Amino acid sequence: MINKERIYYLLQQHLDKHITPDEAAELADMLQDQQQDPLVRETLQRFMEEQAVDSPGDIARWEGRIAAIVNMDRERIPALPKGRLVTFGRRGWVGRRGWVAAAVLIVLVSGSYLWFLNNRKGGPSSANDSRQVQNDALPGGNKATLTLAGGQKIVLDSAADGMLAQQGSATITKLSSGQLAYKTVGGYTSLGAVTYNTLSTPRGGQYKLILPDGTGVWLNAASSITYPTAFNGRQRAVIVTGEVYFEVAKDKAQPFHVKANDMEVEVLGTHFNINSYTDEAAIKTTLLEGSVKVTKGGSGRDIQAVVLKPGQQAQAAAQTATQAGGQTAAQATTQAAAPIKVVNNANVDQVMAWKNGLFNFDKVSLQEVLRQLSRWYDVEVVYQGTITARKFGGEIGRDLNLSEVLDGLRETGIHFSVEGKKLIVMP
Amino acid sequence: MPTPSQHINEKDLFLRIAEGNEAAFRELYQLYGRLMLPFLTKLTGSQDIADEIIQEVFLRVWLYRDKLPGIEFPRAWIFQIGSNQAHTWLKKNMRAAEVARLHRDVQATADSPVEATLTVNAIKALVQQAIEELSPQRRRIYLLQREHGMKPGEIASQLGLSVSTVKNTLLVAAKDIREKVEKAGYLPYWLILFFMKK
Repeated sequence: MINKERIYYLLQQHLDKHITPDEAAELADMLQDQQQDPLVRETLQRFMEEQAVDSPGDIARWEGRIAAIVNMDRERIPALPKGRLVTFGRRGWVGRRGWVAAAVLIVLVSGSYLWFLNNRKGGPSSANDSRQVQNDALPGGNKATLTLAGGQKIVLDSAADGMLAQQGSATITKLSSGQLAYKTVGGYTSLGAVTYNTLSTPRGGQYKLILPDGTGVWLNAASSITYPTAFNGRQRAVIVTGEVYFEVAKDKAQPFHVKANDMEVEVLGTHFNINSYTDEAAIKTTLLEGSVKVTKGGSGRDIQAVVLKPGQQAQAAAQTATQAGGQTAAQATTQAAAPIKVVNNANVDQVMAWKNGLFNFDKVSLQEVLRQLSRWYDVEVVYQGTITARKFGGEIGRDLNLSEVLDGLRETGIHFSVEGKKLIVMP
Repeated sequence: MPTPSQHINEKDLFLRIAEGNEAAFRELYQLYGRLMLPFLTKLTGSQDIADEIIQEVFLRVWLYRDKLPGIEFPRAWIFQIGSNQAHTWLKKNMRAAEVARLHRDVQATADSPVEATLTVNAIKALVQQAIEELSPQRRRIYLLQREHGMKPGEIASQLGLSVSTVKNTLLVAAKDIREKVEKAGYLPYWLILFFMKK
């Protein structure tokens, strides 16, 4: 008959790696005997208590596991690999997601990968010490300006928490988390015109806003959203510029409409990202969850619409100011007729990287990498000489200083110098 | 006999986690994870497996967070879940052949088959479905906390409710979600019978 002391002894032998083959067999049999379960559990808990000893310092490799748990009720997160970095010769493949204290940059150089690990939390290397960077561009932060209907501007980074303003039936509050929240008092007002506010982020800024209906809005740098202070109409309609991510509160009675340049997105209740920067080639709408209808403006027969499913991205060639102004009739017709392109299995991690505090590049040109950096660090990019045709890929944290990011790029053979707010790319 | 906690106030962490506070959850995970790591690593012969067991433990702490305010002995409760998960692993992976092999050949530990499916991946869809099925007011409050990180006081002010109503709703919503997961066959339900405050 197994008793408590015997169980304790066998487990101790196992833990100390002194167990004999016969004892091992006895332990295995005992584990399968359900009648012993309570005693076994009790003994295990006793060992756990006896052997509980703390070592200081957080364990970085657990961050992904912690995130997986708390993100269960949020948008789809990247699948977590086992956390090992695997390389095959010079063709590198990063198995670990860029969540933790390491920044990884992979460079695709004419077919082969180079990779390296850049520990951002590590102490400064002796080589860097002698190179004190003057005017190092700090990463962007929560900065935005709120423009009220009457033209009054409130700078949100320096505003104190609490109620900022009251407009008609709406109160605007800055929460302790930094984001902005609207509350409609008493709901529907049919009297008086609805007022519109604009929240805009500068270069180097980002901000989060909660609309009166509970819709969450995340603004990337150099972006804006114009919205009514109360959703009183048959629709909830907003206008955006730049890059904005939405998590729309469900309301079948009031569809949600977003307008970006000449593209319109109609949603019921869903999560999607719009990238409409005018210096990018196309307006991209990426759907994470739910269902949206994307319409490209024009008139009469030129209007086109596609319905997206989660994971798809709609791309529409952006109409720039010069195109709109200086086209011939023939050009205008060709452009308006250009169809909306739908991409299946869009790289959602890449699209959502900014909201998750990362830059994520996937075989893109140096110009695109630097366009994103220039918006976040608020620098102007100047190219000298020929620009490399190489493609770049990888993930970097958005909370690094510009000098740290440039150090990474320098390792790939690009030469930079920084003068004030100018980032000069040299051959 | 449960030992008194030293610097960290587990009960305070428990109350914050019950409201969905992720910083408190991370703090508890790191602290108790480190306490359980040496034993679990020795028991299973693998740090990877120990990491997974610890994740299973804290998944349960998170899903049972509506119970946290009522727990008399936080440390003992966590260690009970920990030893439970260790026991589950042992029963699955320590049959006679493996036990002997484990001690004959250390290398075998690294190659031994590990239960790769983490519960968190298996139940994610269930959790999201359960959120959809919450009653509208409950869901609204729950999502304002989960998705926007708003504190109970801020939610109360936004919706014109009392703070205690919001706090209670957060607990009930967490419970609703967990019960749906249990009904689908995940998580042991008898866990909650132990160590409840009188």
